[in-house]
Amino acid sequence: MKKIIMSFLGVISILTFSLGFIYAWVINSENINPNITGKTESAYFESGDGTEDSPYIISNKTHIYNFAWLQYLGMFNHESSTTGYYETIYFKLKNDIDCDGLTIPAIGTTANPFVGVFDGGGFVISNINVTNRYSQLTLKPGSVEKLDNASIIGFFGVIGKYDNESGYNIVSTSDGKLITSVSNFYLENIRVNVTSGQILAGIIAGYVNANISNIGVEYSSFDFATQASALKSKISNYALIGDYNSDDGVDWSDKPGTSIGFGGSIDITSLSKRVTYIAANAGKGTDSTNTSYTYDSAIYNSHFYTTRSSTNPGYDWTVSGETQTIAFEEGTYLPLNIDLTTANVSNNNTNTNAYYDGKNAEPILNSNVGYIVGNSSTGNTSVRLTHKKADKSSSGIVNSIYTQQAGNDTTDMDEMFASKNYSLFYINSSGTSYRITDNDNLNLSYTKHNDNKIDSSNFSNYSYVKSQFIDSLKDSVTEEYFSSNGKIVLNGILLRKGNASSISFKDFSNVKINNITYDTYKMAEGGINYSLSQNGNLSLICGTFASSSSNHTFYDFYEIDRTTDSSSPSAKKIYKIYKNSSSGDVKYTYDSSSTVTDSGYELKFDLASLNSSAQLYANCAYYMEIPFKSGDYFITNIGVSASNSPYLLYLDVGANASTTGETDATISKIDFVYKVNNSIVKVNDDGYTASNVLYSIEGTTTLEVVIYYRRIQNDGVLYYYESIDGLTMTTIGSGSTSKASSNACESKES
Amino acid sequence: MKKFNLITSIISLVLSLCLVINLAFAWFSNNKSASSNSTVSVIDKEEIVSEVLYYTVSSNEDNTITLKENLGSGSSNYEMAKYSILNDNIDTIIMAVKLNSNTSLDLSLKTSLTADDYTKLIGYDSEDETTGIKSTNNSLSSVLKFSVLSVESLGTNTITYTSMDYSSFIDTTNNSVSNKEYSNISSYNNYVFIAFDYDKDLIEYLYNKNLGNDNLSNSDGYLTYICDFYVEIKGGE
Repeated sequence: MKKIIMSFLGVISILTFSLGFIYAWVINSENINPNITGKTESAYFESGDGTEDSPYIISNKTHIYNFAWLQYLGMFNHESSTTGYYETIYFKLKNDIDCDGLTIPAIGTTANPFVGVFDGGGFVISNINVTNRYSQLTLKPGSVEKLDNASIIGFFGVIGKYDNESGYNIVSTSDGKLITSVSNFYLENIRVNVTSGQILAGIIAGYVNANISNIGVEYSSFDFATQASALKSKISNYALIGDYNSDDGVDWSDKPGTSIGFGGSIDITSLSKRVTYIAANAGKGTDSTNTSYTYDSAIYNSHFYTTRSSTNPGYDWTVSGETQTIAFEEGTYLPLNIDLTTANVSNNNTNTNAYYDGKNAEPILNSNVGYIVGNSSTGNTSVRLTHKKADKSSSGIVNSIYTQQAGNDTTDMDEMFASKNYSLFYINSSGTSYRITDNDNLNLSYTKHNDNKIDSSNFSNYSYVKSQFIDSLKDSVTEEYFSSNGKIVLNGILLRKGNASSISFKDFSNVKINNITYDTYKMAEGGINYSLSQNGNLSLICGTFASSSSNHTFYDFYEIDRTTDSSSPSAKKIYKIYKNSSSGDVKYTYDSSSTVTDSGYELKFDLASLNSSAQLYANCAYYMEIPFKSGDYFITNIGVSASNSPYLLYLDVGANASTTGETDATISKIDFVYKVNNSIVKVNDDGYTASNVLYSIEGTTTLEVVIYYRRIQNDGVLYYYESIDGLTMTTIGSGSTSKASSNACESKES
Repeated sequence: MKKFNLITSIISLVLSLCLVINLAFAWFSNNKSASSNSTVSVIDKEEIVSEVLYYTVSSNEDNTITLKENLGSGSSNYEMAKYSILNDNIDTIIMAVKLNSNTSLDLSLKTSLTADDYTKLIGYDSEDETTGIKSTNNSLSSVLKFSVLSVESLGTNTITYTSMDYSSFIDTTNNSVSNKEYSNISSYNNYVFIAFDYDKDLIEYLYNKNLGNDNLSNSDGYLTYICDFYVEIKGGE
């Protein structure tokens, strides 16, 4: 038995040895070490070197990622050692980019703001998240272990320089030319995620101190974390952008809800509200018997004086008589441009305003271009401010647009415009007159200034001019206050200096014009003093209201010369205005007979003729663009009766020109946009209709808050939030609808 | 007692056998032949690989790769052209592994790269504190993709394939690095072909993770990568 076992084990041993031998042989293996090396060139974008001629081309989501992070890391902020200015890096979007849920930090921070030029080419960036919550950045550079300086957030964070305390000047080249610009792109399905703590948030940008334009947002949302609060006064001032440098030269001329007209540098409706607030707090009190009370409004940084009487008891926005007039007496000087947002000037149909109630000085903008200066309280020697319900039964200022309705029973301006019963004229910067009025049957003789009727068939900008014209005339006072059918209030100023042709100057203290503050500054009395820092147009709308067309006058314009003796300026009346179209230079004549014969100069405006020859129709509104060269000016009416001076309904000093210096920037055409047939309608597309709404958000969140926005073509901007704990969202402008569920905002169907 | 001795003997035998097997395996795995001066017996182990050559590619269209050179005249090593994100050129190279016989085999590409290191550009991280000199030899495994071709026919300088599916060592989604194994690969006319190319997505991923890295921020510079993987071939039949 033992032998058997031993033999068996022996056989097993031999077999096992053989198997091992065979296996080792059969599984024969070899290793090859490839003799390969590689080399990659460092680059972040599709092409380009970042120069103006060869911008960095961004064509996919990786490039978007690189753009955001390299900006965060400060790779594009190269400050020139010789000039001290940033070098400008240029970027260009090549095509639509679906970011497929990519999460990036905001492009530009307080430490490394975006100071280049980004041209979106009209393309769409979709499905992207922006965050300043580090934990949400699933893909990030290995060297970034936390997010710094990211409290200002949007797709772009900070555009142009930002300083939390004093604010930086706008970034420009050494020759003063502004170049920082972000323009021409669209965001679709973007979410801005905001961490707790102090923040400033916008969808397009957190803070703007540069040019931005032609940017649309189709569908968007904010996600505010618990305990999110404002870096400054509000979490977001306008939703589309968090805030902008309104104090130091960034002009947002088409900002919804606050501006009117073609540039809105002077908002007469808001002026009327300001006067109401000051009157309510500067001494009017409840004394209705004192007939000679003078307002002392010096505390407001704006001064006006008027004498109360039984027929002119003061200035009251909500007066039941539906008409209010105030005369600015000698000593009055009201700045044309204040920060309306800070002062909370709005059309809220009340005489109270917490900002004014608190005796806060009016926040005069550095970009303020001038002052209304009073003269007298009586008749044809007074500068008067009027607001009046626009109804065909009214007279005075309302005749500017109403008398020509020829028996039509239209009862408000909206209906009047719908029925084409209005009389509007447009005189362009070449002095050519056009009739915008749609109704050929209006009672006009068409003989005064060779006016040609224009419409969309013969004037490419007809729709724009007309719509802006009408918008400039309208004031969005709601109809709740006025008990009758009218819902529109017209606001205007009469500038009447009396018969004296000499111009008198008066010293005024603490005057701020074009970013310069003067302890004492002489201004002409009885009209508007304004200053143009560059050549440009003075745009205005004036309304003629006299019953007779034969005696209507236009304004008198004076050029103020401070160069000879700044302590004793002189005024020269302007008769004719000539312009060299090639150089842009403008020349005047200062008497009735002189002409400019220099080569290249053409007569654009004959102010004297327009004034003296009854060139203006009665009962019409005129929009004019009058070219002026840089300098100081005074506008008034001399030697007119109470009824033949036109009402100034709208005034824009320096349209198409910079008003505060060469480094001015503008914000324009940023909007909530909509889709038609699943394609975004661009802000410059034919038929695009702009919205008129923004949102301000303030407070401190107690829970996480998500707010959705989406614009529908005919339904305005829809918004939805389940709960807005701790926050207050205020609508700026009109055309906004709260939805009961997120579906209406989240749906992508058009 | 006898029963105990028997069990002990069996255990000793088993252990001895295991030792013998291991020794045999190890020896034959590392030696191509065995001979003895005292005997006439000589055993030769045939080498699997005859030659490894590299070829650049002129075109790759309609499942046919055209080589810039004729088969048999390639290089014994290859430096891949500089990849430029700006131009996004394809820079495919073909590694031709010529076998000593037409056979089928198992093939593996094995890398020394780890999941902890695949996002690092060591040119940035390995600066010598004493000399200040930066190494620029990064991991080729981190930017490469490869495909073992399934060959349908060969021409003088063409390779027609039925499939060309690229793989890489790195899975960025799962944040992992793994070797790649191919089983039962049939050679064609004694050749096995492996295509290598830069993986654009991996390069961009690597670049993204290294935004701000000094090496990357120098637009005039470039990064070099050395081979940190090998190809293991296990012969069949």
